[in-house]
Amino acid sequence: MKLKYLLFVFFIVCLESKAESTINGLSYYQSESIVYVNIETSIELSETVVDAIKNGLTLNVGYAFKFSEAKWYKFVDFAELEKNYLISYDNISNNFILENPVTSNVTNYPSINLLLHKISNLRDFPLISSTHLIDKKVEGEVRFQLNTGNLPVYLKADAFFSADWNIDSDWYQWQLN
Amino acid sequence: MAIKLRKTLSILSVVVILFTLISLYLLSKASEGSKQFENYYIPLMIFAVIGIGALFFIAIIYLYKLFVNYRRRVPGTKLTVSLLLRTLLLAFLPIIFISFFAVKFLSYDFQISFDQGINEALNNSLKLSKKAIDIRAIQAYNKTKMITNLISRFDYQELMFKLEQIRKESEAYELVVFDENGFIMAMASQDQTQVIPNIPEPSEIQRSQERGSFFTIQSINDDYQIKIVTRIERSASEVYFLQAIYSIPFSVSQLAQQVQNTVTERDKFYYIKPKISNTLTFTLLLIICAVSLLLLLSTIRFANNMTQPIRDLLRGTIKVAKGDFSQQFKMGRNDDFGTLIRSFNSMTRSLDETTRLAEKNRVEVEKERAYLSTVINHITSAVITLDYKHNLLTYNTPAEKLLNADLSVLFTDDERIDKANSMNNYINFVNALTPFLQQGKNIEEEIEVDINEREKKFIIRVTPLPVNRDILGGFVIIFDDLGLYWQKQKEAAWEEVARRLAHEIKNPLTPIQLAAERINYKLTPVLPEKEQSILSRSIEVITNQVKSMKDMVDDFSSYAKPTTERKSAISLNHLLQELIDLYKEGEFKNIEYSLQLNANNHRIKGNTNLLRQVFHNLIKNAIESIDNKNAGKIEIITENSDNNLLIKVIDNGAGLTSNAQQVFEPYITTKVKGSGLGLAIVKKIIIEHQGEISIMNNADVGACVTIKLPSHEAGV
Repeated sequence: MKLKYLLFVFFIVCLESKAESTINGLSYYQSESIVYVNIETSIELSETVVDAIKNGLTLNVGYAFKFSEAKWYKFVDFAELEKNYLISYDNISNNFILENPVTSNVTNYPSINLLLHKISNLRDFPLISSTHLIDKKVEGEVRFQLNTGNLPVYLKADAFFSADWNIDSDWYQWQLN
Repeated sequence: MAIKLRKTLSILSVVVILFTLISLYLLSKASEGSKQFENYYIPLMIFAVIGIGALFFIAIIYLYKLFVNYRRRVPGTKLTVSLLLRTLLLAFLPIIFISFFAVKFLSYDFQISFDQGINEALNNSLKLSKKAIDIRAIQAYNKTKMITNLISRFDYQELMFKLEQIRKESEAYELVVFDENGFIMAMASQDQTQVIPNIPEPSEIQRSQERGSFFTIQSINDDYQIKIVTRIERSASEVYFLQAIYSIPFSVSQLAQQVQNTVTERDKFYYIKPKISNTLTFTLLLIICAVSLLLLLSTIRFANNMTQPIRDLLRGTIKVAKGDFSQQFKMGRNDDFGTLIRSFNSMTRSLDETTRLAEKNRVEVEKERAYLSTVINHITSAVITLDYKHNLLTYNTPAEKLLNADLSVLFTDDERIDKANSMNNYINFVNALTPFLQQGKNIEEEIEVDINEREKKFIIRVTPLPVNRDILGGFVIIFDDLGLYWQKQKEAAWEEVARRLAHEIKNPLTPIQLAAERINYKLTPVLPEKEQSILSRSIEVITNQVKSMKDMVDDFSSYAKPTTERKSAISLNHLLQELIDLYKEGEFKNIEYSLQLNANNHRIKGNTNLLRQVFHNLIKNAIESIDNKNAGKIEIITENSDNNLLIKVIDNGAGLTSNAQQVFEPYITTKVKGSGLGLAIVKKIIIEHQGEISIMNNADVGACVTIKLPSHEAGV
């Protein structure tokens, strides 16, 4: 009886956590022993999230990659990679600012849609060395996600339970031959 | 059920303790700094919520138990509930007030009133910064327009050479000329190391194409820049774009950045503040819940602890009321309850000792009573004791036999028994006694009492009991059946006569016989034949008469001789079978002998020789009573009745002519020959075997002798 209630609550939570972003397509190519990837994603941020950015919150979003090798019993993860972006807002210029946390390179966008358009089209992103793919059957997985770990603690509960903060896409899989 | 509940409580208690310890650890970690607080806050909340949840379940279980006890009216529960309600009322009111004001305080936006001026100043600073940068941007825009007009006339070579000079004159940070496809035509930058210029976004090129020119202020790594993109109309088919980037003076940019940072922090604070307030309220509610639950549990425990002695005492008094004085409670308190428990323990100890003493005395009295009862019951005379109101106190078995009444009826409360009717004999006896009792002195008298509608004589000895502090007086009455008494006296006299006769007669008989035989021996040869015949007949008469007298003397001896033969367990069936077999083969085998051994329990304690003599006498008497031996029939039947063995010897002879019971008296006989002692000896032997004998005529013909002997298993 108790188990039924728990399953019901879990079901409701699952309904609420429907993915808001979608990876529409992915292509990759190899150039000088580096595998590059192009990804097209549909990203939508709710008014709540945009409002939070405008109120000084810095959003950490990005792509998470996983690579797994086919063994005789199952696929085993052997590499992970992230491509992150920091999104913030500047009150002086009224621009949304996209920052690469690795290079600290920033780009100003007058609207959030222009910014999202930029990050939803990932172009020529160096993914992995082709030496890791020799004589292996490798499966790649990618998803667009919100790193809630960087949110203030008071917002973490909201980010966990509220559909407004559900930015993550489902995992998109492809074979690296 | 109780074990399961206790197990659940134990598990929940362990959970509470464990999660409280973990929560305390996380709290100590979280309080080390804001960063640690952010890291440990959520785990802290999770553990605290689970711990409080477990605490809540414990409280629910305790309240449920209290409710059940209240419904069952368990002693002390009302006091527990009363204490609980009073304590909770006293404790919860302040908690509710404090909680209410704390929550109100947390949700109140008190900073607004304090910071309203600062906010306004900050907003104005932001506006000012924007204005300052906008003025700068407009100036830069105008300057860029002029540059656009100037370079629109340059060819490609001129553009390449003069752009740097124009940049320096215009104080631009960077000038880039590119076509509509984004290909760079020329560039000049303040940063000489920069090889690749800031390439405009496609959206910016599109915007410039649509609007001709625009400017934007950009925030680049804690610095502000003005970016202007204008369209250069070189010819109808050739369109270039100029992107000019101007740095804002460091001092202005720095100040604007500071304003921006402060505004961002403020906005962030105001955005998060309700959530902080909610979090703090939630934390406060958790603490209140924990405190309230702990208060509830501790109150229940306290109330239970307080009422425990009451429950114990009540349980104890119930057991004491049932006669269990072994109740002793633990002395673990020094308060008033402790004194009460001490008093209770002292009381039950005293009661226990008194009860033991009373029980010991009762056992001794019972022993004495049993002893007295044994003595009274083994007295052959009947004994009864009466109180001063003439009510029966004690009696013995002979008294019941003589009065032919079950005297125990007088001591029963069973209303179904008609005491008046069943106690007629006793009432008659007491009525006959009354005149003697009223005299209040020792009396020995003979009285006549109607027993079963027949006058019976008793000899009574009345002894009044002394009156003192413990005894209100009363009487001891010893009485005997006078008829039986005389019968015994008579039998004793006959025994004495028989003994003397046997002694006096037996002695001269042998010399008489010897003398007669000597006369016969001496005179026969010398007397004539005629006198010899007379002598011989005379001697034969003397010898026969002496033999007859010897037989009579033997009978006298048997009657007078006290029985000293030893008794043992014997089978009467076997003895009778043996006797009948002897008669079937003997002198009177033409008589029909029938033996019906119906008694299963046919063993008695007796002397085989004496009992054989009894049945020989009875069978012999039966044979002698039968005239026509060829049609004679003797039937012997054995059967069990209660704990007795009944033996009936039935014949079809002449039967009795005189009073049946007189035949057992000495010298009473219906036969021509015989001493008259046969049946008297039989009766004597039977009585010595604690048995009874009676004789009566059959309905048609003959007589029946009935013997009743106690079975061996009956303890005889």
